[in-house]
Amino acid sequence: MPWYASMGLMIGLILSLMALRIPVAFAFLLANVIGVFIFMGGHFGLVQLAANASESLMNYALLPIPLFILMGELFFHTGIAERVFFVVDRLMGRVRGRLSYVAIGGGTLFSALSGSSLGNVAMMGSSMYPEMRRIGYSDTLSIGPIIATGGLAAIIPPSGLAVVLGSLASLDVGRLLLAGLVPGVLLALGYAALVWTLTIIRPQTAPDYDVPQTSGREKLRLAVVNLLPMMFIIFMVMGLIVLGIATPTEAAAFGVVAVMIVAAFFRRLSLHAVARAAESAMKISGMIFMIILASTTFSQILAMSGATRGLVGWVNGIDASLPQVLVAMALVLLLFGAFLEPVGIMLLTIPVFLPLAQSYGLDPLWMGVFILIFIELGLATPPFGMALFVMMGATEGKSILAISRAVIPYLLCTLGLVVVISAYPQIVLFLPSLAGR
Amino acid sequence: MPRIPVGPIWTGFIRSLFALGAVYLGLIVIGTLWDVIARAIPQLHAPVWLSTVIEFGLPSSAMLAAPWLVRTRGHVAMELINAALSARQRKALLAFTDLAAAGICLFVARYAGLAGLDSFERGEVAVRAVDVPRWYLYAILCSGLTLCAIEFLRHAVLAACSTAPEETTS
Amino acid sequence: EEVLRGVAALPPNNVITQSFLQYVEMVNEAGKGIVSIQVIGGPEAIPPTQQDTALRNGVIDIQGGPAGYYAGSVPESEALTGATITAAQARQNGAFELLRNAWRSRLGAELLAWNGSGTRYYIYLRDMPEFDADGNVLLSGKKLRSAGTYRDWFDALGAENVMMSQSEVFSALERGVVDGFGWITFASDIGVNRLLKARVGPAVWQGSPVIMMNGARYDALPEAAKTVLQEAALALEAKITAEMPARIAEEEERLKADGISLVEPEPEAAARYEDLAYSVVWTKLEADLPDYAAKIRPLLYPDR
Ligand code: NA
Ligand code: NA
Repeated sequence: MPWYASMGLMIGLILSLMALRIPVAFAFLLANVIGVFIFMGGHFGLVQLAANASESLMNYALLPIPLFILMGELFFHTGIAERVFFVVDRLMGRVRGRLSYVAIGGGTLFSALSGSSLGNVAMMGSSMYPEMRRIGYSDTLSIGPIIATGGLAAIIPPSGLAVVLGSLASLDVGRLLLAGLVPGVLLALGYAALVWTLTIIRPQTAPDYDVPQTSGREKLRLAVVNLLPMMFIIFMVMGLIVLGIATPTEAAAFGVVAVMIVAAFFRRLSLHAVARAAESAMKISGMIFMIILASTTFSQILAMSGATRGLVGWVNGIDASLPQVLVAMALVLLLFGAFLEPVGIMLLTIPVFLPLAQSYGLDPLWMGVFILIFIELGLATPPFGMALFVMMGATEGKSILAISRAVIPYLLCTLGLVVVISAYPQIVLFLPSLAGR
Repeated sequence: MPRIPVGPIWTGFIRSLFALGAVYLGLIVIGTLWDVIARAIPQLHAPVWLSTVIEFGLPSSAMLAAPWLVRTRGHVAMELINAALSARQRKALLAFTDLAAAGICLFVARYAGLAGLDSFERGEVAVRAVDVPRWYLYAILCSGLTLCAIEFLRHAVLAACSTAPEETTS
Repeated sequence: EEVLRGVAALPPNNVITQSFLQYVEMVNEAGKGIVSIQVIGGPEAIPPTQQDTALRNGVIDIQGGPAGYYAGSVPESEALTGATITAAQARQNGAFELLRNAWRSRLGAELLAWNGSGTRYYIYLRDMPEFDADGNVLLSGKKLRSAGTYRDWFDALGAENVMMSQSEVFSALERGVVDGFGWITFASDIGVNRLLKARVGPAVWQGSPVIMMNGARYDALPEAAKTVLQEAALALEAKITAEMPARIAEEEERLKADGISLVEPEPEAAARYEDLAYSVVWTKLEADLPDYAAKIRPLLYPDR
């Protein structure tokens, strides 16, 4: 079977199964079994499917996902999140869409604390979204910024995906991490500008309610009492990383404890709240893990079928100008992002795209950042976007369509940045060039 | 002879598996803290098996939680064609997808079981911080998926028995 | 023509995968019209630790990668780590035959080549190490990023094993969560040179990358095809052994250019360090498979 037929078959299969409303994880399992029959042969192919699936979750790099979800749920169920919003309201007064800016700021800050985009989305989703919905924020101003800035975790250092990419491409990991910093910050600023624009064009999408006049003295008191404990949480995560006591993954566990300590400080820590938080966290991470299990094996079968290699090879074969080649790469990365998981995408594309880019005189560091940005986009593009699913779990009841619609403006903003860094590669390369060799 | 309340007992069982998964998540937090603290303090040493227990926590908690998530419809699904269907059609479609999901779970569980038995007979181990028999992983997958299948079947059977348009549990 | 479905355990930029791909090229060149290998993927198609199952069941026909990934199903493979001889010598003195039998009985696989002899192991550190009065490199108490292969050795050195995934190595080194890690000769591949100050010698152990084939598939091949596969294996091993010194020198130049000192203790201390590393491998094998270890140890690890 030619590669495009295999690819069309598998993608058509998964799309129809999902459309039939089979839960995503089980739709993938079913598509896997059919794919195995076709591409690996019956009995032993199915044994192989079971073998691959059995190991797919034995991955230490997945650890931050449940830990950050737990952290977010604790924020919410102990009422700390609510408290922070109250303070933000008082401090920011009547700035329209202020919680959206808080989500962007918080998500960006959290990206500097963690390397896990999904953990970040889940943390922000479960701690911020319920309150934003209650107050009356539209999806575009609540779900949108949370998913968009959550994705920055893999672009702004530390980033587990960037390290994996660096070692797959034999790139200097330190310089690759630095290369992601400026685009990451630019993206955050771009999202903030987008929120500002949206609140101007459609003011009704952000709630407008009266905030009691607060004196400067009172503001200071509120800030000290409520935001200092937040600094403690940030220290417990970032401080331990910077001091070299814990890795970013391990620091997530300290984040959980720090939230509990702060909750105790506010006398909001109860067994009931912890149990509720643990239950919600298990619901979301159980759902996500089941999808990871099934989708990882889907990526593997697609790779076994030769479909993905064929597509990547097609890009390699086209004889075209640099912009055309970049567009072709972007399309392939978007397509893969819609159906495959991040490490699989990197394993498939890096060996071909990096040398190809170099043959056009592009810096491999730049190409690495290009690929990372698209992998982040893939987490938020339907039908298969892990960040969308995380958000579906955190919002309990929002449809994939509603969530996807809410994210689209931010995805376009990200694509805009891709165009900008393509025109001005120095944006990416300047910082690593300062780091010397 | 008194009737044994199979339904409630089964529900309690599935529910407690879910709770056990959540407890495992808590243990992962404690284990990670222990690991880091022991490393930072020269006199302390974390046991070698700790990292392996944490790693096994991820698939284990997922499979412990999965059946209850099937029961409560906690596994996300796309709602693309719902609007185009009547209540009756929706119910029929749901029953069909429940059966399909049950079938696929049983099917994969069967092969996980076969692979696990084979691995057990061959005495294969997964080389981690401490060696662990490889069949553990297959057993976790096989039992988790089997329980999911039972829950999907339960949905389908209840739907067939009831006349209500759709069961709602949450 | 017989077409074999091949899979590599590691990504294409890895030295071990590159040597497997060389083998593929050699077979496809020499075997025109008789036998060819079609590489269908790497770790993205089948996870490295499940490739043994895939090969045994015939989902794939031929595989290239470190035997360490499936040490849990072919425990005899760990003997390669403790070898001090080359692949050619192992074929001559019968050690290769013993290994081939082990692959057959454990995995139903034909062991075609040991294509990594000459690749050695070092400990890489983020700070220059100190020496004790006897000239030993002080490693006791150091926190070293570890994996199954290194666990017992680091224990024996008095170092602390820190288990973490590769995606965390950079941040852990940068911030001093770990003081270093164990790796093969070709450390530049992982992209953390800038964080390293020292490579601790002497080199110990040997890499265990091998090329293996599904046994039933191999047995059913026509003689001509078998000959192509076996001759290419011999040629590959010879090529790698011949090229290794130059490649090692190249890597060492790169490490030095990146400011990494190649630390070598005095001969006596070096010998103690070597003995410890090898004894860990052989003690474990002797405990797990006493009969096998007794037979193969004098062949792979002579003069000791
Ligand atoms: Na990050
Ligand atoms: Na996607």
